[in-house]
Amino acid sequence: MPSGTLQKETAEVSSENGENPQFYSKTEEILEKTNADALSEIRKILVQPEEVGEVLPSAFQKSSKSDKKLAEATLPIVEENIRQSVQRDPKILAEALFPVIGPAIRKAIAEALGAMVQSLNQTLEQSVSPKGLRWRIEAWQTGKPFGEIVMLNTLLYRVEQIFLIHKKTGILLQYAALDSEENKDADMVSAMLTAIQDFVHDSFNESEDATLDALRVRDLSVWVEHSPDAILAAVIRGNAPLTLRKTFIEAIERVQFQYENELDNFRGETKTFEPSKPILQECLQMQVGEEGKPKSKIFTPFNFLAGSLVLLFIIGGFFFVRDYRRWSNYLERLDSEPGIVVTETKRGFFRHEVEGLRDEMAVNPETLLAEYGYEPSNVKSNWKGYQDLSPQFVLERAKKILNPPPTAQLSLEDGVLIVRGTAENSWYLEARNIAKGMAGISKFKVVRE
Amino acid sequence: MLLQKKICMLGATGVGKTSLVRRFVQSIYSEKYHTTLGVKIDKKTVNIEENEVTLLLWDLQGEDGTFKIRPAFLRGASGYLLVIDLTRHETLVTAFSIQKMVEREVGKLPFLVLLNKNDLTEDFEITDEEIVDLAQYDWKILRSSAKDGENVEEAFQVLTKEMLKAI
Repeated sequence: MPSGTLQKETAEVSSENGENPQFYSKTEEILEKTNADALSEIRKILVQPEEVGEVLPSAFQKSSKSDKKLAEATLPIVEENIRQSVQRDPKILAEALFPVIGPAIRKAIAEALGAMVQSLNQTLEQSVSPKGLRWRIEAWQTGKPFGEIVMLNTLLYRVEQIFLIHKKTGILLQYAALDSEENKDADMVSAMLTAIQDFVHDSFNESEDATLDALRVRDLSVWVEHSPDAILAAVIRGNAPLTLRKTFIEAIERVQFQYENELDNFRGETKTFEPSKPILQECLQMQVGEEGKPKSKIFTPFNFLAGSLVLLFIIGGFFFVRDYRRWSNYLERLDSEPGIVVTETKRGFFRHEVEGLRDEMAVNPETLLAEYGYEPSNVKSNWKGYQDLSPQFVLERAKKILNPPPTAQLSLEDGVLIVRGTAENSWYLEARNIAKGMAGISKFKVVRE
Repeated sequence: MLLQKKICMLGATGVGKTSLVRRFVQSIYSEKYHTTLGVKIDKKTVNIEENEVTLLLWDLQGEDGTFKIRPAFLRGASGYLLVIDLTRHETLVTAFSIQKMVEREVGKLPFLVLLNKNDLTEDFEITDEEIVDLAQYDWKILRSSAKDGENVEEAFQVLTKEMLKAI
């Protein structure tokens, strides 16, 4: 209704007596007429179902692409719709989900079995491999459980703690940690992080909107993400991919969206932010695996030293085993040689020793050394003389001492030295006398042919 | 109700701020942070009626001729303790300038003035008359001693009550 008409009608009524009941009925009539016309106009302009229907899908599409605010806002409505649908008739939802649930269950079982097999493989590998042995030594040295050492060695990154901090006060609003044991001093750490942030701002004259993004100490880093009223600080061990920042940004945006008023009017009541803990827990991510480790890590000084020691050990081991076998073979040979009795041996690092008895008729042990790869200087030998009474040596000794002529042959049978052939009588007489005094000869017999 | 509040410990260098809190607070950071970062964070829990209030104490490096408090550290504070050394008159002058600076940077906040080293009566440089004169500024004042522990707990109680009133 045009405003000029309304003013005119109101003026007409006002000119009449205010106490008149007609005045009230006329006023009501005008107001009703006005409201009805105005509402009709507004409906025409705003509430055209066709127009809303056209706009709504693209509005939903655009909003879901840019952020999760629409999803967050409509979540309670969707949840309530589902609840009501199930209450009214559970079959409808069950039938709708049936084609999805079957394959999902099969997939879940397959994944669980796969993970179990992989876990078994890893356990076997880690238990029996040199790497596993090294980790066991590390666990023993540090007093940490073996599982933790395996985890740390195979870790690419692990988000260990998440701090949600009120930006203005530095007060810890909420905290989540990967380990069940929470950081009791998280509130002080939170304040200190804020102080460091302020310190950096002041020290380098950075503008207010310039923020500290990260701190790093060896393999531990703190990534910081900001919203207008809150800070999310993530404590990460290892090398996390930069894509992880997106997770943190989404988390802080969700907190800012859900708790906008509480953050703005924060007066120290941190309990209000307890429901935000699941959002923080979603950020506690980790990734394990050997593949992603930088290859340059293989060539650390420690690894080089350890590698050198292992190489030295292998080379030393080779020479040790080789020498052990040579020396054993040499001693076995001496044992097998007639006329040699080994009484004592000593295996040294650079020089060996051997002691024993040796018949002068036996082979010279030093001449055998070369066969086993030794120089005479490598082995200290101490041989004492003795007479071997085996028939072979007794006969040889007799031949050497008696020196028979070429026409006479000596032999030994059961301790009897027998002379066959011919020789001068004087030789026979002298030989008989000498032979009687020789060890291993009981009788001297001449067989004339 | 569980509450957390940020409060600042302010004053000139050597007035005994750190000594005041050392025996009464929980701390994980060493005092070297004063000289490196300019602030050390401690924690103190105070119970006021049915409220359990955790105070995050920002113990700021003392102000002197060469070092000025970083205003950024004051942001978000709910109150502060302003410490004066009774044995050094210049710390009273510094306290005035700090108080003005705080009002300028973050506005009016509940605060409590602690006249510290109250056990060293023979060395007092600040007279009783000067202390009486402070009343005109409507400051809440307590005498304290880090050595005896005099009024340290009370200081936190009083300041926390003031802060709760201001909510």
